[in-house]
Amino acid sequence: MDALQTQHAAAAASPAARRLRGGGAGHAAPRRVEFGRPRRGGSARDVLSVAGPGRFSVQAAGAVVQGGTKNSRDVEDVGAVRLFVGLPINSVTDGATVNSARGIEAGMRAVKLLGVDGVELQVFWSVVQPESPDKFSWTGYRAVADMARDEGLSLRVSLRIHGSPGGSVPKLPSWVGAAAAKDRDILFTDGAGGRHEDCLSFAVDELPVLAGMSPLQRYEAFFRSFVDAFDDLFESTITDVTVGLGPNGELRYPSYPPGSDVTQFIGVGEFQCYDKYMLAQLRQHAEALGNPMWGLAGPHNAPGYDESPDSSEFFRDHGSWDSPYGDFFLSWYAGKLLSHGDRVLGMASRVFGSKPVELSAKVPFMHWWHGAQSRPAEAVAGFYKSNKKNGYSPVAKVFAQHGCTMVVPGMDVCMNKQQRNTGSSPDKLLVQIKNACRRHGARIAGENASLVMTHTSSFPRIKSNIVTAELMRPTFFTYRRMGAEFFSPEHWPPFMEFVRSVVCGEWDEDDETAAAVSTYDELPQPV
Amino acid sequence: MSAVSWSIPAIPRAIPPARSGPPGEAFLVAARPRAARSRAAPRRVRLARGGVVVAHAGAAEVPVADSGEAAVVFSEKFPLRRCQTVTSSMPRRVEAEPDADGKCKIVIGCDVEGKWLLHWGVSYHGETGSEWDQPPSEIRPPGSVPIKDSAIETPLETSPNSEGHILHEVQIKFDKDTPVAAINFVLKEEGTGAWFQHKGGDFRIPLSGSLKDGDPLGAKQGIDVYPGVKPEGSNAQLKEAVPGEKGPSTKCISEFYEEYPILKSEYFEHFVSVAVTENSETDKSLVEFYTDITGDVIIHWGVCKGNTMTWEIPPEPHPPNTKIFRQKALQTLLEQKTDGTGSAVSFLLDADYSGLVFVLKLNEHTWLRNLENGFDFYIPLTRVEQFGSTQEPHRAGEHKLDDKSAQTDGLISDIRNLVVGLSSRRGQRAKNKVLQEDILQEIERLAAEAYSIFRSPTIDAIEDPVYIDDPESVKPACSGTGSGFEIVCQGFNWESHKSGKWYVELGTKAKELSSLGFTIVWSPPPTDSVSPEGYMPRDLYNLNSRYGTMAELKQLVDIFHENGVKVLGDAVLNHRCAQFQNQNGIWNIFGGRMNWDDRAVVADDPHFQGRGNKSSGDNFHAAPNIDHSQDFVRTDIKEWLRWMRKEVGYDGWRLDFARGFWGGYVKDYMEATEPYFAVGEYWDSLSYTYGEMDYNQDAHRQRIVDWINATNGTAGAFDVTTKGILHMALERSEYWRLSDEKGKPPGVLGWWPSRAVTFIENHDTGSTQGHWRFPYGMEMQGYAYILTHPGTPAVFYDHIFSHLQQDIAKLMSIRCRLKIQCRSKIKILKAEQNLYAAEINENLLMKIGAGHFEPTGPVNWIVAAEGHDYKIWEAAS
Repeated sequence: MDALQTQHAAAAASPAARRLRGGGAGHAAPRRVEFGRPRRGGSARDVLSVAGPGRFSVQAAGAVVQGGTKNSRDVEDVGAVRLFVGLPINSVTDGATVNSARGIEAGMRAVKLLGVDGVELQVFWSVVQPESPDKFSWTGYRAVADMARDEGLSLRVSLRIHGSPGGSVPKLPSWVGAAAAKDRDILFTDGAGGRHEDCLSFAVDELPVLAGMSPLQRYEAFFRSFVDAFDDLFESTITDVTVGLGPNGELRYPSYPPGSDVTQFIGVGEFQCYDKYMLAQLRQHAEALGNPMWGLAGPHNAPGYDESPDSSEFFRDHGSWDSPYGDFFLSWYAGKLLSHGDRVLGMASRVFGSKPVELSAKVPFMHWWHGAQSRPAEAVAGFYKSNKKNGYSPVAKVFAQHGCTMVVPGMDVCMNKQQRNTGSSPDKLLVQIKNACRRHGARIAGENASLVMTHTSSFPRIKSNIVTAELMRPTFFTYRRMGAEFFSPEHWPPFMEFVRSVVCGEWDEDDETAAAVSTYDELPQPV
Repeated sequence: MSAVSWSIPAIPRAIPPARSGPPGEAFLVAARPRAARSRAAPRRVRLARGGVVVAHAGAAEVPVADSGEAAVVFSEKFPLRRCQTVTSSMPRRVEAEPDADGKCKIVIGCDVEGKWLLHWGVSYHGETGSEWDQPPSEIRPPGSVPIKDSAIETPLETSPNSEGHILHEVQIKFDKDTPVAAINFVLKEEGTGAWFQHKGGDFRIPLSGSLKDGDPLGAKQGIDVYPGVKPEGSNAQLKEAVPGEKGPSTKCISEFYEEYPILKSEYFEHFVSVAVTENSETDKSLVEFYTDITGDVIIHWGVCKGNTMTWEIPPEPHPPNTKIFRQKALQTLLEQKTDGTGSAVSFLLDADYSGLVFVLKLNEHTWLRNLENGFDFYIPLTRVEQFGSTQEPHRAGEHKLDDKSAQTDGLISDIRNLVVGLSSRRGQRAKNKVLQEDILQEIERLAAEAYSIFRSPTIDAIEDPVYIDDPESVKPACSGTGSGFEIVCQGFNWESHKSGKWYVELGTKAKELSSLGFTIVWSPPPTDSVSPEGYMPRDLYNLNSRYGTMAELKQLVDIFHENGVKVLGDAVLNHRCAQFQNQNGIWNIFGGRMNWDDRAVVADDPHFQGRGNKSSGDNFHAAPNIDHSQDFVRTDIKEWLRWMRKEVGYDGWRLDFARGFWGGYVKDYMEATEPYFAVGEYWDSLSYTYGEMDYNQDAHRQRIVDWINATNGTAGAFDVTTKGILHMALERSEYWRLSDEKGKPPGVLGWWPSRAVTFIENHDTGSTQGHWRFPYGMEMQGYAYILTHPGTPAVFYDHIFSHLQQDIAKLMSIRCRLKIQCRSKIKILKAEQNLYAAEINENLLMKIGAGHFEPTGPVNWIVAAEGHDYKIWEAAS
C-alpha cells in the first residue's frame, strides 16, 4: 500500500517517470494479485480428518464450518469449491510414456503454488487396454498420478470408455475396433447409416459382443483394474473419480455428425437409434405398447444435423414431438440413455463404493436451441421428459440414487458469446440443471467448456457460478485444460488472477462485515 | 497540538459476520488452526519493529494462585502495538518583497521530526500541463541534488523556531522577474521514504499570475495531502494575498503564508503475556493474563473444543468484571495494578477445552490483535505435545531443502503465512510483499517453462533434414535463419577496440571476407559502454564507441552490403549500466533516450536493488539486469532495435548472454525487427560426472533447443554443445563422442541443425581472454567438422587472419561448391576411438582423427582437401 503510493508520488513528481507510467501500470499488475483470504487453511484432508471419515469431504468440511451456527441453508451448499486444473488430454497416449512430462511437472508445480487443489487426469480405456482384452498397461498414467502425489495435489481421475473427438488419443481399443469391424451395428448409427467409430451403442451394453463379454463387463474390468493399480493412492491423492458414461465422457447420445468434433458442434443433431440392436429394442417396445407401427424406425421428419428445428415437422412448435407418437419415441430414446447411465453408475458405485472418493459423472451442456419449445438439441442427445418437463430431472434422479455428483461443463458459457439465432440460453439451462439436481438431491460440480479467452466475461462468470452462487454451489470446479495455450502469455496471466481471486477471496466483495474489516484496515499510515 | 488516538481497530473475530457467506466461514476455520500451530510451541516471536521477545517471560509477574502440583502448559509473551498520531504543521510562505539583494524568497517548512527532503521542479511561462523542469541553477539552494533531468532534491535545514520547537525549512530565493512561473514540489521523509503530496499531485506555488481569480492553490477546495495529512483543509489559510504590480514588471508575485496539517502516526510497543498452568487436583487450568498497557484493558475471549476453533462461552462462573458479548464471547476487564505498571487478571477454566482465543479491546474502536497473524491470539489449554509433530511453517520456509516437494511445501507454507498475515501491520506487509513476489515469480517461471514445452512437445521430430538441391528454390526458411547457406565471420576479437577505428579497419577487409565466401559478418557491440569491449552498454542510443563513430559504423555496414555480406549487430539486452544512482547510492537509474529507473531492473539481484520482477533467466552480476517482463522495457528495446535496423542498417543480431532472459521475449524482439539472421549466445556448462564429461549431452543441448524453441525459432543459437564435445573428442582422441546414441551428431546440430550456429572459438573462449580455448593446434579438425556439417558455421576472426586462412578458405569453397547448407543430410560412418567419418549431402565425405579411413563403394570419391588429421573427399560428378 505504502510502496504503491510512494511510487505513485514519484511518478507524479517527475515527468521522466511519468513517461514510464504506461509501463508502470503493467508493473503494478502483480500487486493486484493479493494473497487475500484463504478458502481454507489445510488441505481438504486436514478438515476431513477433523470431521472423521466421511465420503464427501466437502460436505464434511461444510458441516464443520457450519458448526453450531445453524442456518436454513442446505448442508451441501456450504463447502468451499475445490479447484482442479485439467491435465492435457493426451498426457498419455501409448500406455507407457508420459508426453511432455517435464511440462506437466512444471505445470503442476505452477498451479500448486497458485493454490489450486488438484489436477484432473483423463484415463482412456483405449490407452490402458490397447491391444488385447487380457492386458492392462497403467505405467504412463501411474507416472502422472505419482507426479501429482509428489506435488501434494489431489487427483480427479476421469475414466473414459469412449474416445475423445479431436484429441490425439485412439478412440477405442483396437480389439474393440476389430469387434466393431465384424459387427458394425454395435456402433451408434444415424439415420443415414453413418457410424460413430468411437462409441458403442447403449443397446449392446449387456450383450456379449466383445470377445465373449458384454461392454458393461469390460468396463467393469477396466474400472477394477484401475482400482488395483492405484489402490495406494486412494487414501492420499485420488479424491474424485468421474465415470465417463458416453461420448466425450458425457451421458448423452453422440447426436453430432460421426467423426466431427463434439466440442465444436452446435447444431440440433440427429437421433442415433439406427443400429440393428437399437431398432430391435424400439420395435419390441412399440409392440409392447400396442403400436407396432411406431417401432419401425426413428422419426422420419426430424431435421438434419445442422438444420434449423423449424426446417422440418418434428421439432417445430406444436410439431410431431408434441404428439403421442413424439412422446412415445422421445421417452423411449431418453429412457435408453437413462438405463445406460443407471447400469454403468451402478457398476461404478459397486467398484468404488469402498473407496474414499467422490463419484461423479458428466452431463452435456447443450445450451443451444434452448429457446425452442421442443428443446431439440437436448432431445436428440437423450434428455427428455414428458409433458415439457425438465429433461435433466430423470438424469439427476439416477445420479442421486448412486450418490454421484453431476459434473456440468459450461460454467463459463456466457450468453454474449453465443449466436443468438441458435436460441442459446446458458443461464436458463444452468438453472434447469440445478433445479433438477436440487429436487433429487444430487450435488453438482463444474467445468468450463473451453479455455477462457481474454476480453470475455467468462472468468467473472465462472466465479459467480462457483463462488458466489447462493444455491447449488459446485463441490469442485475443473478448469480445462493445460497445454500450450493454457500457459501462453495471452491466457496464463488472467487465469492466475482468476485462481487467486477464487482461492483467496476478495475483501470487498463478500459482505458488509468484510467491508467493515477492510475499512478498519485503512489505518492512518505512519509517516 | 498533538492529539493522541488509540487506533488499531480490529474486528473481534468471534462475532460471525451477520450474513457471512461460506467462504468467510471457511476462512475462519482455515486461519485458526494455523495460528494454533504457530502458537503451540513457545518460540521466538518476531516483532515488526523493536527486537525480540522470548517466551516464558511474564509469568512471574502474574499473581500466581497457589497450587501445589501446577504444571505450566503454556506461557508466552505476545507483542502488541498501538498507534498514536501526532499532528503538526507544514507551513510555507512566499515573501514577495525583495530583500537586500533584490531577491524574493519562498520558505517551505515543516515541524515534524524527520529528515526531510524537498523534491521540486519548476514550470515556465507558457507551459501547460504539469511537466517539471529542473530549476535554473541560480535559484537552487546549496545542497541540492539533481534527480534525473527534471527535478532536484533539497534537504530541509533544521533550526529551532521561536517557541523552541524544531523547525525544518528550506528557502528558495529568486529574482522577482524570474521566468519561472511556478514551483512544484512534494515533500519526502528520508527515514521512512514517505512522500507528501497535494491531492495526490504536486504542491504548486505560482510565482506569477494573479490571485484575483481566486486561490490558485485550490486551498478552498480542501487539501488532501498524502499520507496522513488530514483531508479537511480547514487549517490551510491564506494569510496574505497581495496581488499587485511590483515595479515595472508585469508579474504579480503574491505574498502569502499557508499551513498544512501533517498527521504522523507512531507506534508504541506493548505486550501481553499469558500463562496457563494445569492443576491436576482440580482438573482445571489457571489462565493468567498480564499486559503493560495502562488504562482500561478488556480481553474479549472465548474457548474452543477440539480443533473446531469455534468460539464458545465457558459455563459460569465467569471471572469478575465479565460481560457476555452477544452470546459469542466474554469481555473481562483487567484489573489495573496499583503501581500503575499495567493490568492483569487470572481465572480458572475447565480442562476439557482445547484452547482459548482472545483479542484485546481498549475502547469501542480500538482492538489489538495478534501482530503475528493479524487475527486472534490462540492459547492452547492442553499440553503442547499433541502438536509436537506439526512442522513450524516459518522454519519450513527457511530451510533450503533439496527435496522438491518439501521445497514446494515450504513455499506453500509461506503462502499460508502470507494469507494468515494479510491484515497485519505494515512492516510485515513489506516482507510479505517480497515473499509474495518471489512466489509469483516462481509461478511465472514454471508457467513459462511449461509453455515452451507444451508448445512443441517433440522437438526431435521438428527438424527432419530437408533436402534442397537447387539453391534458387531456397526461400529464407523463416525470419532469423537466413538462406540456409550462410557462413558467419566473427569480425572482431577481444583486442579490436584498442585501435580506436576498428570499423574502418574491418571495412578494408570486406572484399577479402566476401571473396572467401562469408555471407554474414558479426560486428562488435556498437553502443556507449562502460568497458571498452562494448559488453557493458550504457546509453544505448549513443553509437560512438571505442570501435569507432556511428558514422564509421554506418559506412562499414554500407561497405559490407556493397560486397554482398550481411552485418549482424551485437545486441546486449540482458544488462545495462546505469548512469545515475538512486537514493541509496546504488547505480540503477538510467539516462539517455531510454531513461528507465529501477523498475527496469530485475528484483533478484541484491546488488542493484531493482524494483522490477524477478529475472526470467540467469543473472549477469556485473551490471543491472534488465527486467524484460516489463512492457515499457520491451517497447523501448524494440524501438531501439528497430532504430538500429533502420539507422545503422544492421541485417540481424547476435544476442549476448541469452541465458539471462526468457526466449519468449527474444521472439518478441525478433518479430518486431524481422532480422535476416539472428543468433543467441546461450552458453552454460556441459554435463560432467566426477570431472569427466558425459557422453550424453542431451540435457545441455536440450536447454539450448528449449531456448530456441521459446524464441519460436526466430533466432538460432551458438552450438556450445558441439564445441564442448569437439574439445573432448579431439583433445583425448575420443572420437566416439561425435555420434549420439541415435547415430546423429551429438550437438544442437543433431537436433535442430537449421538453428544451430556452430563455432569453435569466439572472443570469450579464445582471443586474449581464453576462457575455454579450443585444443591448440587442432583448429583445422574443428573447422573440417563444422564447415562440412549441417548447421551454420561461424569462423573466428583470429583464425581467418592467421596461417590457417588458406586451409579454412579451401573448406569454405568446398562447402559452397557442394551446396552444403544448414539442413544438409548427414550420415555418420565411423565414430571410434581415433576416427570420425561422415557422409554429408551424399556428395561429401569427411574424416577427422588419426585413424585410417578410405572411402569405398560405387561412388568415385576424389580428395578435395587434406590436412593434419583431417581429410575431405567429394563425389566425382
